[in-house]
Amino acid sequence: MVVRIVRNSTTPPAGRSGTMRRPFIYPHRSIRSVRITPGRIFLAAVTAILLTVLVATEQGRLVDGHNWLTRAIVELAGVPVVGVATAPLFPGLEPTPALVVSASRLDGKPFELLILFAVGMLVLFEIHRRVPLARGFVVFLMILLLVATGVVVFHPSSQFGSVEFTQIWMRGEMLVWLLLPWFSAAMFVLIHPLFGAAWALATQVYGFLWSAVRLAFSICLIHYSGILFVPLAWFALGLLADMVYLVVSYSIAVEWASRRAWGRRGK
Amino acid sequence: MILLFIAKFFLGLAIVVLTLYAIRHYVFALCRLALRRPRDFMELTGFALPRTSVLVPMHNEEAVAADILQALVECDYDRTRLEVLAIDDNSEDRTGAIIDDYAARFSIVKAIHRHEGAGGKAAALLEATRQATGEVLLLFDADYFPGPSMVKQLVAPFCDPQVGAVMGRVVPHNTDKTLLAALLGLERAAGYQVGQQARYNLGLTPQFGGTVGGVRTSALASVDGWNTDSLTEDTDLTFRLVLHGWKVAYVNRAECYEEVPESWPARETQIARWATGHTDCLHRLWPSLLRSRSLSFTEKVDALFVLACYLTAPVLILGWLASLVLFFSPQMHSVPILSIALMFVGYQIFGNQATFFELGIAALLDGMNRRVLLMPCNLFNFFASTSAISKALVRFYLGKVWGSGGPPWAKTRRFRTNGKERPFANGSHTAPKLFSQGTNGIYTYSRSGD
Repeated sequence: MVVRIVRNSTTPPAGRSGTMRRPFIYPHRSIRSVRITPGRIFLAAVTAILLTVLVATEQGRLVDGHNWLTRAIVELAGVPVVGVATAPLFPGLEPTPALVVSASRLDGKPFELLILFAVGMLVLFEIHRRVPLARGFVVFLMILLLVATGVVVFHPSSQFGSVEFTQIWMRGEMLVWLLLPWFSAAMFVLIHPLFGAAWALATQVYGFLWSAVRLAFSICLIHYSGILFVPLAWFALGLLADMVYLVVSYSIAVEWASRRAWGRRGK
Repeated sequence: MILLFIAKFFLGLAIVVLTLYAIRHYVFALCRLALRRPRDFMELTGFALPRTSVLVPMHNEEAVAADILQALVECDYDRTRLEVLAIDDNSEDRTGAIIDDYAARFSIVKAIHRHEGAGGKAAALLEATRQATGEVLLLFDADYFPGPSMVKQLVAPFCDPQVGAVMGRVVPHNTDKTLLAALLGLERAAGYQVGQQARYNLGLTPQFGGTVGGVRTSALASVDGWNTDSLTEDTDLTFRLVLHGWKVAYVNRAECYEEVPESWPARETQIARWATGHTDCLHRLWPSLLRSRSLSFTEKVDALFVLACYLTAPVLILGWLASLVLFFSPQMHSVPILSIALMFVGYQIFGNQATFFELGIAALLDGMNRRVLLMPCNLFNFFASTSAISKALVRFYLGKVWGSGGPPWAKTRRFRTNGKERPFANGSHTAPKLFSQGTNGIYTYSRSGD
């Protein structure tokens, strides 16, 4: 955007360099409102109901597929899978298969624990030093690492393996998969009907695939470093990561809707 | 066992509080999206312009003082009904000289120099109000760029005799400088374009922000003037006016350009002051708000939500600590504990006063096609703000316990340098020039990357 302003020819008062002090006053412009028609609401409701029914009725196949993908990634990473257990989710839902891998126990190995803790902290300190805006998030991760180390040292019986972790993970993810269609409908479809419906489906598929990748990564962490980095994996890569991809999807949907509404006039 | 009970209690509290806020903000976003704005007061005809005093408090503002004064003397309001009170509030730089220069050159500018008495914006406003002769007082911070019609736009709603205060829209102009500034630009858009406008549409109380706004002199007198003890005298005044039966109007079209913090320390100072001031107002005003007969039930609830909004940060931290305790307990495996935590993760995660769907709606309405893609980065802003707000509130409550009176008023750092080169934090760059002068004496401004 370019605004042309004619210079005031008078002598600049004190405190002014003589250059135009007001760089831009662009005219107000914004859409007064976006009509939410009954058609949009109907499409949003249909999208949400269809996707929820799909997740609920195909839940058994979904968790099997999720487990297959997770196993493939874990094995690709060179972590041996000892077997597959089953873990209950919620009443009324089929249990989920859970990979069994050997978990590293650090409670009897103070030297290894110290090395892993120190390396983890050093990496976090370095990020803290270099990226000021990420400091709050890094402090959050540091606290998680401290707590996990405390649990290994002072309360080793609280440590758990890959099956328990998979159960916790899948409970959270199952809820995400069931709620996601409603979030998507309320956020995407209302602002951009047809693209929004397709985007809601794409987000659902992405959420499913991305969950398997993150779970596989966490199981590998359990195999190599025990419970030490599991809280970081759960709190940073769990629901928080779900929120991040939801927001990324939403921002893309808004960008599409905004481009359609504003065209090249958009900022 | 007790620890588990406490953990469950705090997690439950966090979920309930944040879910309520999430619902409130979604209602606002949906209403703003779907409901048309009320008619602009500027469309009314036959409105006589009242005598207006524009108050500009300044404390060490030599970098920006001339800009705001020049903008105000160029405004299109009737000069016989306008005065600009430029307040030099204990400045140690050239602010006073710049004000004197403008006062000498333009008869509508009056200089007020304060070199003693309490510091802070509220104290400066109190003194200027005593000297003001207008029926309406308009307020601008020194780092703002009011457009030529701004005074008219802000004064117009006062034709409604019930309106005691008016708030305009604040738009950051330096959003292309740093990532933080860009994120704050999104947050401001959500706060004004969605939050303030939705509250106005729904008959609730838009917040008078203490700048880019105005107050009726008689309304101010009816509530005993500015509260110099408050760190957020604007919020304090908003709710004291409402308690006395006055209405607050919001004018989305009255856009004024401000500078948002470009560095985290400046942002931290700003948000700590807001958090402390809001929470202090909550403690002083909640009994009166609940007892008020001039407010409807929804207005009371919304007012409490506004005043308590910064308490969500420590509540979120408590809920998060509680979920960390439960993560390592056997309870974890029987209760789908962290699944319900989704609700509170889902709310404030991408902003402190604006949720991510409000950011999205604001971006859509304002046509911020590309900038909206930065929204996921607000995660960092969220963590940083949550931590800063919580620290400020801990200091505030400790101050209450020990009687230290809380933190002093702190001015937000300015980043503008009036065209002079300014090194960035790492010293490796210089700020891009905002405008360039052509051979014909015409200045051209390019908003690259915006």
